[in-house]
Amino acid sequence: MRSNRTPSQETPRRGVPAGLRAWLRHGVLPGVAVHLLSWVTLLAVNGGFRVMGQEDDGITRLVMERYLWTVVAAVGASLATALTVGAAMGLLVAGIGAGLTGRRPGRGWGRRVAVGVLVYHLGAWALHMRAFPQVHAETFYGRGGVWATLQRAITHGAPGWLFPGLLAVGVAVPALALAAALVRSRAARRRTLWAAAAVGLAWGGWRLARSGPNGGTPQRPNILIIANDSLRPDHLGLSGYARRTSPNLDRFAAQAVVFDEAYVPLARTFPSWASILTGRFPHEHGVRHMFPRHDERLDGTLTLPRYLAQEGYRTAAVADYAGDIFRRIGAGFETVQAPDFDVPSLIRQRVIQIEPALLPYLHNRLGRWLFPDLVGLVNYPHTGETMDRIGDAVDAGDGRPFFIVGFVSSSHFPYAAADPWYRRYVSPDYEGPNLYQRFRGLAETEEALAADAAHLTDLFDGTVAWFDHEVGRLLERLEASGRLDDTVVIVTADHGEILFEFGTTGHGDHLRGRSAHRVPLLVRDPLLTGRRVPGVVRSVDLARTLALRATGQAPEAFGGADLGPLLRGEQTDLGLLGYGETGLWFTPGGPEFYQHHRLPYPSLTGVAELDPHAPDEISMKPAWEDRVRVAKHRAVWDRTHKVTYMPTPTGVVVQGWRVEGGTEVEAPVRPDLKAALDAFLTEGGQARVVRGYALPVAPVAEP
Amino acid sequence: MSTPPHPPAASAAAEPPTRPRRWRRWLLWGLGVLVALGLGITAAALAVMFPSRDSLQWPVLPPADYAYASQSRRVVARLLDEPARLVHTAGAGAPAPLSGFDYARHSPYLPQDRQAAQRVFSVAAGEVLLEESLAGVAHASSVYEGRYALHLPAGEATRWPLAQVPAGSTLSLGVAGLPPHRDVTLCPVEITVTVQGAAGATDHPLGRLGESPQDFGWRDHELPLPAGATAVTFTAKAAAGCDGPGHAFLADPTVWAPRQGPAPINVLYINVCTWRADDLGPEARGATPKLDALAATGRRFTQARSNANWSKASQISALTGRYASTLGLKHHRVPVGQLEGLSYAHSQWPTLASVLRGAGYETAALVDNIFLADFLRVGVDLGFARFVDNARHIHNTVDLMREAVAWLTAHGDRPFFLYLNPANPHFRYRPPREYLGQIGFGWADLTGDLQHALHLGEVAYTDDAVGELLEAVRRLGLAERTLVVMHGDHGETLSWARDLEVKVPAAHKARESMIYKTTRYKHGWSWQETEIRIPLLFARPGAVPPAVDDRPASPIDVAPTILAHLGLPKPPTMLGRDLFRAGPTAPIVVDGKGFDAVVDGPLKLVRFWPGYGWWRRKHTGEVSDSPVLLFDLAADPEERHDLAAQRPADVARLTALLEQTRAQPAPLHLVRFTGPVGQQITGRVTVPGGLRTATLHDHAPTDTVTRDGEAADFTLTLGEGPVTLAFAGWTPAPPQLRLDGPVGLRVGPHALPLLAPALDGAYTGEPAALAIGADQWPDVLPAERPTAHWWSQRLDHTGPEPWRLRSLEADVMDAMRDWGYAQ
Repeated sequence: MRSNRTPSQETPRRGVPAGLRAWLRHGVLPGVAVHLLSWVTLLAVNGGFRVMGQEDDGITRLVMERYLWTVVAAVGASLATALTVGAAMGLLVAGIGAGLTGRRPGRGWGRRVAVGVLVYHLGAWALHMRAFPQVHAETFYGRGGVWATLQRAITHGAPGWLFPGLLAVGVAVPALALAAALVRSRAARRRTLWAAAAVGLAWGGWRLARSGPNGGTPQRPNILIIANDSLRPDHLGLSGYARRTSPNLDRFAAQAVVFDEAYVPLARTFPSWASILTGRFPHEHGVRHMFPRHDERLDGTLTLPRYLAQEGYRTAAVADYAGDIFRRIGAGFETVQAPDFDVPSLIRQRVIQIEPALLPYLHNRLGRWLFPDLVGLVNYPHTGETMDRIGDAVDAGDGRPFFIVGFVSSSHFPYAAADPWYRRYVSPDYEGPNLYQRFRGLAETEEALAADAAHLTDLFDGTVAWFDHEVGRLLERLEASGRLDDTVVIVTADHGEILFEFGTTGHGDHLRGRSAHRVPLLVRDPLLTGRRVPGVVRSVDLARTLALRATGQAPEAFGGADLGPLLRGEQTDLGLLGYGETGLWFTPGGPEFYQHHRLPYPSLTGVAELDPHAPDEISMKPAWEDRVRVAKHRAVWDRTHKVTYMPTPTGVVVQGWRVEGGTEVEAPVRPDLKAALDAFLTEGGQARVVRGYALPVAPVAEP
Repeated sequence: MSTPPHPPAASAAAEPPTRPRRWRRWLLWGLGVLVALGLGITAAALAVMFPSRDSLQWPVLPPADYAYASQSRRVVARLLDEPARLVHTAGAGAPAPLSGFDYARHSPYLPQDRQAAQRVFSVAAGEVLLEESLAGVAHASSVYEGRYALHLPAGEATRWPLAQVPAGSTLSLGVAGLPPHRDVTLCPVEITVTVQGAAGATDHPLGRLGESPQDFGWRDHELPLPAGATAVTFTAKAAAGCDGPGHAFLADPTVWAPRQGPAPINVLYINVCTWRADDLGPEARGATPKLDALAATGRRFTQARSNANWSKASQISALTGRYASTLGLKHHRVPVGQLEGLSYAHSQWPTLASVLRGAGYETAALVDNIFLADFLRVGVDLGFARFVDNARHIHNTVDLMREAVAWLTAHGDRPFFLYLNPANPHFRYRPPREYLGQIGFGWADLTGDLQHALHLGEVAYTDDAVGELLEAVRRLGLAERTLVVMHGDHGETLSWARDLEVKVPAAHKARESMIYKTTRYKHGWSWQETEIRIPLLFARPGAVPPAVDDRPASPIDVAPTILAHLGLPKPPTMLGRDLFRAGPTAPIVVDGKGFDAVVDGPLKLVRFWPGYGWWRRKHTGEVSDSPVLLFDLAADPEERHDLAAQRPADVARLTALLEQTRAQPAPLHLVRFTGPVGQQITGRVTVPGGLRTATLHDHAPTDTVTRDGEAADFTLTLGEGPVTLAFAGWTPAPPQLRLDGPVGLRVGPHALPLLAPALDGAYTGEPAALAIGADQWPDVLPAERPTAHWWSQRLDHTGPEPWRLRSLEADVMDAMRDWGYAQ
């Protein structure tokens, strides 16, 4: 006898109730199938490791050797998302069907549910593509042919009312089905009521938990720095720009002290923020390029956040992709909300990028919580969401005054702005590759170059307008919560951007012109009236100024001048000098003028390595530190004149410049500016000048 | 539906319980089989690791009355010493001089530097290879024999004029060919040696070389020379019917003649790896009866300390008679870099071998030492005309002795300097079983300090093997004419009490990340006496009276002592003193890895390099980051109490002594010329205090460097690639460079025009402008006009340095790991 079971005891073969099975089979399964198909197709079409459009065997090999599990985990997460979303959408569509027909899912439902899911999926995709075309451009517009036409049709061809219409339909149909179900079944009504109550309670509680008491007063104010990467002040309306790109900031400026000549010492994000937060020049705080090593950052240095924290302030930094530096800078913020920039996060970003169909479902707080690398995507701008988070950080008070740095990346390369901002100033006839963003280098011919220059400037202006809009929203929120009167609000940037004045775009590569180093600086202080300050000021002056304003004293460590007299209107010019140096050049050669007047070193892949102490991060090889330092171009300037310094293999080139009609023209070298430059060259004793070259005093020991 | 009832419980109980017991039995059987298998494998492994003494191939001793006492020979002429006199013909053309001929200092670090005479290696794996093609051949389980040799391609001939050849002379040389190599078609070569005498020419065909892969290795030939022979011509011809290149190598052709008068004294120098001071005498538990006997007949130094705590630095130091840190080598690193090769290999530092060769000695090194193997780019050429590296297996001490006995039997009639470096008793300790019995290995050792007992077992093995060699020397009648020198190259850390954990910086500016190295069963990282004190003895029956000497001594003194004993002048570059001369105590300097130390009287000062420190493991939990330690060895032989804080005056005095006793090497200067092809550049370098080396690299055959005291004139023609001039002086004084004609000069790591010429057009090379970081190799400057890039490189350790061995071949890395040098 093989079994002891009695046939009368009917053991159920499975523990799953029949109803649930039906939903699974006719709801979830078709949904999952559709999404799986979509996922696999996109993977096949987009797979491969391309960084900014460049495929590299070396990178692929490195990734496969050292980061295989990261890749596997990221792909797994993406797949899990697709399956989950598919299951949810399948259930939704099956639910719509059940609601409308009053029946449980059964035979023959599968196909219809699949169609419904597909319709929803494509609709969501189209909506997202309309709103954020840049992140889909690689899959569609960048491919050319029918794909480009498809995307263009969605973003430019389709009428504007179509998309809100689609959204309305997409919401209305389930609502109808729910209504039908509610009408039919009392149990459904009860369940719905309970669900609604639960959701409402949770949401309300969450909102409440987010805000707290304000701790700032006009005498001991909160400090909020709102910065936009690469923002040029001369593209703001308040500086007389022809386009009205900044109505909100213009209004803000009326109540703020506006510095027309504010400059940063190094036009690259990491060193520039290091200067702002320490009040020191790059050679003093040691961050001289974007790839400082683990022990060269600001840990252990007295920074403005650390000082204010000692004085009882709450400190936080909120940023999106260009602000990845805040995670690594070691400035001492209590909380940092910013994406990562290391090899694993780049891999995860890449995996997100190749599945653009999932983005509509992840464009919410939950999605950003599950996939923090979303915010790090360069062509998926999150200015609005980041501003909301800045506002949340402001509201999340605990009775202490706050010092918050909010840093968005709207105007950063590739000048990607959400719909409708990117098309605000763009010519409707444009058909080049850079339609949505600066996509893949510039066109080859002169006319196309000129056309693209104008177009890219239009895109840039669109980002400025977007930023202005979002700043306006944030300011409204501050006003509504009453905190505006207790907060010193500063609007600035980490550097500017050169827009074709010297043939191409960029910042930090040379020191001609003022567009790379000049930044907006608007300071709205509840105790001060608005005015304009023409004198030269520097970002290194901010730390001392803010410390004095907040606490009445400033530590010695904050170099730089106190801008108080300028803020209060007692003086218009402190006679300060601007100083600038270049950052790392990423290529060893090129057509730009500075490539012919520089000391050579290899490209980025030659001078950088994975940091031995933080193996996922990229930092400069110690062997190249000295060369990069010696090779830097430098300049000193005041309002009207400048002296630039370029070390070359055959000698040092020193040139004088004078501002004339909006540009700089060559002029005799002014001796006082030259003397100031020589003082900077010695780097406070860290270098000595030999036949014009600033040679590091203690050679860096072997790596 | 009705159902059959359940079977009653009683019947269930009556079922025989077969299944449970069966699997239990199977389990037990299986376990038993596994255990037996395990024991069997262990036993087999132990049998392999600790073989029987008789399973090894011991040397065949010559018969008891085989004596060389009556015979002796001397050098008349050496081909490799007289390159300028050779007449070289290639093919049917007119005779032309051999160009670029510099046998003595061929650098293995510049493979483009094709010299006429090269170090050629025969490999027991079945190939004869040129030095640069050795990479890729497995080092382990091979025997490499390299000799200085003249390269003779097929179809060429070299004529060596001779003078004053007495009667009874012979020509000795070794020959080797290049057998078919996998990628290259090579032809076998036939060598003919034609002796031109007064009566006419005699041909000596030496046979065909390079016939097959089995045809490897050096074949020694001894050819009779008639009195008054005027020339010897070496001709190489490709084998008939073969169309392709062929190569032959003639190792050190030498004319030997009978000697009238007393024979010179031979030198048998045995440097035993990892031989501690307590591995000789009563503390060795009877491991060293033969060496004790030897020591009793000679002079034994009880306070001998090595000059470095690991093999490479110690042995190079002993053979050059200089502290390793003064040689222009990074003595704390395994690989020898290109710059070190340039600085060392062309510096012509006299070594014991080169001095003795110059005095007419045959020089040979039989070692198992990866660090002296210059072909692996971890060692340097130490001047031996014949170098054999036996990397066969861990018990190869007998192989070295066998080779030595065979060689002595064949060549004992010539004055010889034979250097032996057996690897045992280096970790891993695997003595043949019988020696464990000899030291009374028992349960106490198995449960106590097992490794120390195994180490002593290996010491016993070494003692027995060396004893065989000494017996052979006696039987050959060479005992009275041979000075036997024996010492260890460093000690070893064996006890728990001395075990340390050493903190080594892992990378530049490292703060938290360190590599931690333990010191037990190893050497190379500890500054303690156990790694520094060694036995040292000299023996020569009748000439060195038995004595026990407690004066401080170190291997740096060995070469001067030997030379003094032989009556030869000591080169001024050797820093030690003659130990047989009564003299005051001298401080002993130790060049460690991570530290420098000096022992002066009872005091020992240890000074760490920046970033290095240590912990005492497991016992006292002591941690030290102190940069300096001071011990009174008389009062505190266990080195437990650091007196640096209490005796600052002694610290200052010993630090000054350390600085002054060990001069830093002058930097190596490199000037790299680029410009249009065919451009000729001439100039002159002047180094105050004298020129140590000046050589050209990657140059055309017509380029020259002519040295003259403090200056060297150079002429070079630019080709497709850059031409580099390397030079160094004896002192760090700034040299001067004068360039004729418009040549742009850039200096330093960044190639900047920092120097301004003086009125006479000469540039003075300020160190601050020229110095670059270690192991940096500046990029080649592309130039349309002639440009010179001048920089200098220090070659001592400067600052913390990571322990990175990534650049070495896999097999060398395996050897490193096997020997405990890498982890």
